[in-house]
Amino acid sequence: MTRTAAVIAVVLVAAIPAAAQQSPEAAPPRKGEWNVRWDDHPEVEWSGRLRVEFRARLQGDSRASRAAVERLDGDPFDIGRRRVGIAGEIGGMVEFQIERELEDSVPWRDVYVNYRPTRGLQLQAGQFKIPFGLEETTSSSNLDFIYRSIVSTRLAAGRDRGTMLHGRLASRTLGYEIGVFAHDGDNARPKHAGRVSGGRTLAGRLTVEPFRHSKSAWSDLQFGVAFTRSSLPEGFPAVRGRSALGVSFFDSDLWVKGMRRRDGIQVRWRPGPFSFASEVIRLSDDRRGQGRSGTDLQPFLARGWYVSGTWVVAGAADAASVARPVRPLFQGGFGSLQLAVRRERLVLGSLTLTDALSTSPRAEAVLGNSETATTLGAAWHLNRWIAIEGNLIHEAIGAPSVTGTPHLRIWSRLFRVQVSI
Amino acid sequence: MRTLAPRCVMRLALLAIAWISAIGVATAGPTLDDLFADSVVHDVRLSINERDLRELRDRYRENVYFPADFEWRGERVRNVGVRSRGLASRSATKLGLRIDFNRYSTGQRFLGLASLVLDNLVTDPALVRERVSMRLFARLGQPAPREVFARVFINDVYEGIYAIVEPVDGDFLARVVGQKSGYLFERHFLQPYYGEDLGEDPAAYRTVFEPRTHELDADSVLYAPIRELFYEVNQSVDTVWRERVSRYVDLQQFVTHVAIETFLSEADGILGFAGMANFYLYRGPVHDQHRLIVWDKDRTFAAIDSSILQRADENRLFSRALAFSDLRSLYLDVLERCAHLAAADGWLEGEIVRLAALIDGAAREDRRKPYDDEARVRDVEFLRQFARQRPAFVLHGVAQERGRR
Repeated sequence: MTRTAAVIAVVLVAAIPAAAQQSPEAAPPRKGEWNVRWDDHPEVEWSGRLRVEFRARLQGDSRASRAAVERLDGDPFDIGRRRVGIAGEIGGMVEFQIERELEDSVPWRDVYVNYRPTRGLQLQAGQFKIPFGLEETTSSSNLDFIYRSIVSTRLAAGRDRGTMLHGRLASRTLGYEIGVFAHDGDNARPKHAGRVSGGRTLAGRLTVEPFRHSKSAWSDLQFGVAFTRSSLPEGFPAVRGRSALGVSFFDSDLWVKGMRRRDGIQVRWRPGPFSFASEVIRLSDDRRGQGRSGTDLQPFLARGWYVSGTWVVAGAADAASVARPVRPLFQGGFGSLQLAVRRERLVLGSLTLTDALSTSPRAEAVLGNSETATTLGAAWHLNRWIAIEGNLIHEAIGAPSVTGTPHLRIWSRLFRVQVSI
Repeated sequence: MRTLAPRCVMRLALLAIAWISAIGVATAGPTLDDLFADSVVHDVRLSINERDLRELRDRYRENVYFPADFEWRGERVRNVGVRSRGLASRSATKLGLRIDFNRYSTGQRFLGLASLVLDNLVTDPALVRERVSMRLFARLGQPAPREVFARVFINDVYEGIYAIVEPVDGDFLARVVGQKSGYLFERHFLQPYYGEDLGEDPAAYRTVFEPRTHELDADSVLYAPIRELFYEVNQSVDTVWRERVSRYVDLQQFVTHVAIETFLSEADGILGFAGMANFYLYRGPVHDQHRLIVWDKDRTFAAIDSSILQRADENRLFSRALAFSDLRSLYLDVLERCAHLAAADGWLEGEIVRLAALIDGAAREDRRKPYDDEARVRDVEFLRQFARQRPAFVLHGVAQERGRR
């Protein structure tokens, strides 16, 4: 707790000089000159032809959970993320971003170049997020909760190396992304040898905002569908059932081979101070030739959904701008306050029962497990750079009536301080 | 309106009863007694994914489970767990196998059994030692697992002649001692053990006796009575030794067990060449007294003329027990009973001949066994000779021993 209090104190002290730099007047760029400014991020700009933003993010997490404490060796506070990076634009047609963690076994995050000849046709190459999952492709600094949903974390793809065509058409009503990637993302990547993940991956997403040009509250409504298709080598998959804080409830000790298919639908709507988001994701792994006598087995299925809603109680114009309080702390206000709730469910295992359920690695009908979680959240944005969040999560894993799989109930409390420039 | 004559009604009723009985006979499934019917060689079929089978053979030294389908007499059990088993008998060529029916499907059983052992018989050229030995133990009232012969096929390829062995587990205990809630330990062979006191720490006995029930209990609960047993065993033999040791082991049953092994000239039993081996230790749920359960008798019939007191002084418990005249007398009595039982009507030789003939065809087709058929026939002949000569040798030894006293 002492450590947590110290971090809060540092954040509050840091808020004062940050506030002093709030809202500088953006001067128009002058030709042949270097300009330095700090709007959302500190940035330098030369002659309107080169712009470089400097970014940094620090997150400190405190977690309390019966399950999690066992994993934290008695220290509930953790500096979750120390990330630095640059982003910018060259000549108006080329954008770039380079981000890395300061301490991580796989430090590089987004490292890509985006060529934008027109708004409707852009080409992006490098390492970035595969276009699958509304929440997964939202920056962690803009999430409504401390952690992404378990469904997104376990089933969405994540980052990978690849090339993608994307753009917005029909007066930005329609968005598309389609690309080819080396693998199927870091969420599915095995942390230990002996597990397999998808190989070369084709991914695509189509989003539509049918009322974008209306003046109504519906103008922000967005629907989307997405898919990935990957080759899948023979082995046990790395996609496994883990709770929000990593408690294992299904180890996916079963043979897969063939193709991995992800399909997802997403919807987002932000009318005024409220927001609503939901996704349904289905992941299916082929099990070709994996039967006891070499026959094909039913695919291994993992599927889930979440529904979330937020309410900006005070301090911001609407849900979309909650991270930019109208009156920041120490500038005549207290920042903004948002409440959030999320309900989600993740199920792993067979859908159809053509055989007795079994935990055998070659079972026709896989005895899986499921989790239903409810998260209550509150976020206090002191200003556009600093936020303090608290989440309360209740997770119900498995069912007491099903033997052979773990079942437990977990309450967890999370607390996060985030400084993001 | 015409009514049916009583005779006609009677005929119809009899016909109905016969029909219902026929349906009942046709639909009644096989039972556990059918599985352990020892007058036939059974067929057991396993389906294992070829990749798993290769890995099972590659990793035959490990206790790694693989999924399989098990089939006997058309009864198919899906998603069973199969692993390699045995100590000296482990083989990649002719796999020794343990089948766990509930490994991947909680509560799944086969004819009420949670598991089965498929003994590959590779350490016994005659292939019948184990089966005959268990029969003798059973005939002398000692709890012994049931065994029958089976031809085992893996993915429709003949793996060889095996013994289906009833595992010593909760179900076995329920059958032979009427309760399954006690503590069962398997002698875990890491190093020779002769009954020494391993000290104060009960956990020291974990390297000697592996728990097969109550596996999650604390070492102090599991092993404290075993520690007390071997502490008391190693005290001086005085007036209270017997009373104290009897609290922790059934000395009469222990002596009886050793006597049967001795008659069978067991080279790898309680008085084995490498210390105590091939047995289970069982303790009831309430009392601290242990008893032995016989296991793995594939090294019996070692020598016709092995002494009735061979290696008797090496074992701390047995050597001290024989200091008591009534226990010594019991030991000699059991040896005598074994000899008479074996010799009566040529029972022992008859069993050897019957079983050897029963499996002859299946054994000849077994290309994975480590001995050729000539060696098998020679060894069967030796066993017959043992059966004819051993009783007399033992009776002579018993008489000599009694005369010495």
